[in-house]
Amino acid sequence: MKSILKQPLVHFLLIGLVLFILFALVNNGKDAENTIVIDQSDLERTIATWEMQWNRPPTAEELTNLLKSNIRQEVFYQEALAMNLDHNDEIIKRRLSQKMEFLSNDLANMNPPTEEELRKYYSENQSKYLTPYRYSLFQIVFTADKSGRDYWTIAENILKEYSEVSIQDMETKGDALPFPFAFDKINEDQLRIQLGSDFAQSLRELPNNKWVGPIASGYGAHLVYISERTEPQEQAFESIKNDLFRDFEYEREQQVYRAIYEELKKRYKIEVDIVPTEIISDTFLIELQKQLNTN
Amino acid sequence: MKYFFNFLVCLGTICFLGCKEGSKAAAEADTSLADQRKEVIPFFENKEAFFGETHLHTKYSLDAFIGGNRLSAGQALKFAQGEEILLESTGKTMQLKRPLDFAAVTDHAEYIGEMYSVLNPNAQAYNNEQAKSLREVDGLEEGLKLFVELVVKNNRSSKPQHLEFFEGSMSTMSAWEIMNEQTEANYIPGKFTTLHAFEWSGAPNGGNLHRNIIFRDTIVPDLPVSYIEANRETDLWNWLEEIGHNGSTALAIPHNSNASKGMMFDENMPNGEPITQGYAEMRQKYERTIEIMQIKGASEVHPNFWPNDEFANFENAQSLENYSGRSFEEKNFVRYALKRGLQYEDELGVNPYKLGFNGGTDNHNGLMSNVEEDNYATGSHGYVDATAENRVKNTVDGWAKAYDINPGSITGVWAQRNTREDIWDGLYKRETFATSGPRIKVRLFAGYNYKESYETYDDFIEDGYAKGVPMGGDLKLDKGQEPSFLVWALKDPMNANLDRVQIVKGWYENGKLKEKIFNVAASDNRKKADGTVTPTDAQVDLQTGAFDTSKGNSEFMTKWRDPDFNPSNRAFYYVRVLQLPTARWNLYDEIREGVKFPGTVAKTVVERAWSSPIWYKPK
Repeated sequence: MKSILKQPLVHFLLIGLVLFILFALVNNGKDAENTIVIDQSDLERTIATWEMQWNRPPTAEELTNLLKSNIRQEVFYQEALAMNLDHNDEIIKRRLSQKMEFLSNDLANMNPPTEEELRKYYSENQSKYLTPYRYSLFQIVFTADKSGRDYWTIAENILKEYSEVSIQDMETKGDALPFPFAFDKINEDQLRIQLGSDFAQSLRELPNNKWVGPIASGYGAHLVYISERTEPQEQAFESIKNDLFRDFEYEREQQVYRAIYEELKKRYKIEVDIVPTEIISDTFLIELQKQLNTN
Repeated sequence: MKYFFNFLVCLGTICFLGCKEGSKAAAEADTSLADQRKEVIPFFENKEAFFGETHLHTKYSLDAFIGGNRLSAGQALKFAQGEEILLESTGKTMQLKRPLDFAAVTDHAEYIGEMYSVLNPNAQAYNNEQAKSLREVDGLEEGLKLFVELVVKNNRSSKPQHLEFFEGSMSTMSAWEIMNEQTEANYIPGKFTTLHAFEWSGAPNGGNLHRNIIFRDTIVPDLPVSYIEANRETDLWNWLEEIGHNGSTALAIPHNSNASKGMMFDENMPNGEPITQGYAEMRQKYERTIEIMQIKGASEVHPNFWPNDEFANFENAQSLENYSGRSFEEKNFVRYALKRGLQYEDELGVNPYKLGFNGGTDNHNGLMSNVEEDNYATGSHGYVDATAENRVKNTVDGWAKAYDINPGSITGVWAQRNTREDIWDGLYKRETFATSGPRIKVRLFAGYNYKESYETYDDFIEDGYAKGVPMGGDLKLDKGQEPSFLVWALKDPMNANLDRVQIVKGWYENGKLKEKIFNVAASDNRKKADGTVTPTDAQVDLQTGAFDTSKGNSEFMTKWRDPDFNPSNRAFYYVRVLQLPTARWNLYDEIREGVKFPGTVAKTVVERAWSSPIWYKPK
C-alpha cells in the first residue's frame, strides 16, 4: 500500500517545485515591486469574461473600465496580502483547501494504472472479486395460500415421510409457484433476488445430497436438496481487468487525497489550549489532543 | 506570465494524451471482455422481470448539487449495483438491500454545462462569483436561497436562461461526455444494464412538463437538449426527430403529470390550438410510457375525482397544491389521459396518450431506486429532508411538505435478456410495469381461446404469448370471439403478501368516457359473489413496523373475462395488484428516531403494482 501512495506524492511535490521555480523565473524582473503588468492573456481573459455575460465584445471604454477595476482589485489584493488579511478568513480558507483537493484529484487521474499496478491491486483486494456462492439444487415450497396456514407443519411432515424417495418423486409434493424445481448453477445473488436474502443465506450452511428443511423464504417453507455447492473462488485477472481498472482509479483518487493530507499534516502538531470546565473534563481534553494528532 | 501559461498548456496536453491512451487501452479491454461476457448472458425464453431506475439526479443537476449531492454518475451506478455509499451531506452510509438490474442517470440537461464549470477547476468560469457561491453552499439556509434564485425563478419561468457564468456549449458537451463515460464503464451485459439518458426539465410557469430521454444504444448526440433550447414538448420531439436522422434512437418518459397544472394532458397544443393528428402521432411515436409514480406523488388517480376507487387515497402528495400555484385537476391524472386518448383515437385516428407505465424515484441524493420504506434514513432531497427532524417540519421548496414525499417507485421490464437493447425495447413495447417500491411482479395477456386453467406457470405464459398479446399491446377484434385475460402476480419475497388483483377498464362509448374497476381475485376467501371484496383485516404493528404474515397470497394466477365486453367500444385494461398494508417510512422515523409526525400523516401504506394497459380496438 505504502509504495503506491508514495509515487503520486513524489509527483505532486516535484510538479509543485517545478511550477514554483518556473513561476519565479518567468516573473523575475517583470513584476518588480509596485508594478502591475497587464499582458495579452489578462486582456483576453477580461474580454472573454465580458463576452460570456453580455454576448458581445466590450467597447473601448468598457474595456478600460474593466481593466481599471481589475487593477483596483489587484492593488487591494496585494496590500491585503501584505497585511496578512487573508489569514483566518473562513471563505479564503475554504477556497484554498478546496483547491488542494482538486489538485490531488487531478494528480490521481494523471496516469492510468499499469498492468503491474492492476495485478498488485488485484492481489491485495482479492476478496472483493471472488465469485459468489453458486448452487445446483432442487426445491419444493409450501405456501400459506395454497397449503393453508399449517404450511410449515405440512412441509415438516412431507420431509419426514418422503426424505428417502428419489429426487424426481419429490417434485410433485410441493405447491406450484413460478420457480423451477431444479436450479442449475445459480449464483447466490440471483437466488437472493428470486427468493430473498434469508433463504439465500441459509443455504451456505446446509448439508449436500439430502433433503433438508423447512427453509423459510418470503413465499413459504421450502424443502431443499443441494447437489452441488461451489464456494467463492478467485477470478482470472484478464476477465475482470475492466472492473479492476475502474475500481483502482476510484480508490486511488481517495488514497491520494488522504495521503497528501496525512503527509502535510505531519508537519503540524495540534495543541489543545482549552481550560477544563465542568462540562468539558480534563480527561476529554487529553483524549481530544491525542485524537486530533492521529489521522 | 506568458511562459507560465504555455507551460501549463503543455502540462495539460501531456496529461490529456496520457489519458487518451489509457481510455484506448480500456476500450480494447472492453471489446474482449464484451466478447467473453456475451456467452454468459442469461436468456429467458418467456422473459424475466428486470427491475430498475429511470429517473435519478447526481451532482451534475444544479438543484441536487445545491442540496449537498456530491455523488457522480459513476458512484450512483455503483450504489445501484449494491455497493455501500457514503452521503457526504448527511454523513450516513446507504446501501440497497438488493441490487438493481438496470439504471439510468437523468441529470437536468439545463445546467450541466454550468455544473461542469462549478466542478472543474480548469474551467474558465470556475472562479466566477456565482459558481463559487454554489460550491460554498453551507447547509440548508444558504442552499434554499440559491435554489430559489437560480432554479425556481429561472427554470420554472416561461423563458429560462443560462446562469451568468455559462461558458457555452463546449462546457455542456464536456459534462455530457463525462456522464456518458461513466454510464458506459458500468455496463455489464447480462448482469447490470446502464442506459444513456438525461432529463429535459420544461416547466413553463411552474407547470411540470418534464421528460426523461432514454437512449437505446451508444449513439448519442454531442449535446442533450434542454428547456432553454426546446421550450415545449413539441420542440423536444422535433429535436428527437432530428437526432434520429443522425442515428440516435430515444424515447421520452413524462412524469409528474399530477403537478402539471393541467398542461400534461391539455386539449390544446402549445400554440393554443386543439390537438391535431400530427401532434398525436409525434407524441405516440416518442412517448411510450409514463412514470406513474415518484417521490413527488402518484399520478394514477386522485380521490377528489375518483371517490369510488377505494385505493385512490395513496401517496397523493396533497400539499403539492400549496405551492407554485398548483391545484389538483382530473385531467392531470393518468387514468383520465388513458380514457381521453381513446376519444382522440376515435376523432383523430391516433391516440396521443397510449402510455404504458414505468416507475422512478427522481431521487436527488444520487440513490438509485432507494424505494424501501425502512431504508429512507436520508430522505430524497439533500439537506432539506436529510434527517427525521427535518422530515417532520420542512418543505421541499416549491413542491410539497417533506412528509408528503414518498421514497418513489421502481420500473419492471419484461425482457429475454438483461441488455441495453432488450431493456430499451421492453420500454418501447410497453411490456413494463411499475410498483410503488416492492419487487412485485405482474403479467397480463389478452387474447382468444385461452384455457380455463393451466398446470404450470410456464404453460400459462407460453399460451399467453401464443394466443394473444402481453401488456402494452393491442388486442384486435376477432369476429364472433370474446377475448379473455390471463392475469398473474407474484409477491416480493422480502415484503408483505398480496391482498388482491384488480383490472381497471376504461372505455369510450357514445361520446362518453367511462371506467370500471373489477376485483379479479382476492386472498383469504374474501371475494363475494357480487364481485366486491371484504377489506383485509391484516394489521401493521405500530410498535415495530412489522407487517402481518398470517394473511394474503404469495401468488395469483387466473383467467378473467370482461362481463361487460362490447366489441364496438374502444377500451383499455390494466392490472393493479395490491399488497397487504405495511409501515410507511415515517412510522420507522417515529420508531427509530423518536420524532412525531402530524396525526394526518398516514402511518401505513398499501403498496401496489400497475401493469401497462392492453388496448382493445374494434374493426
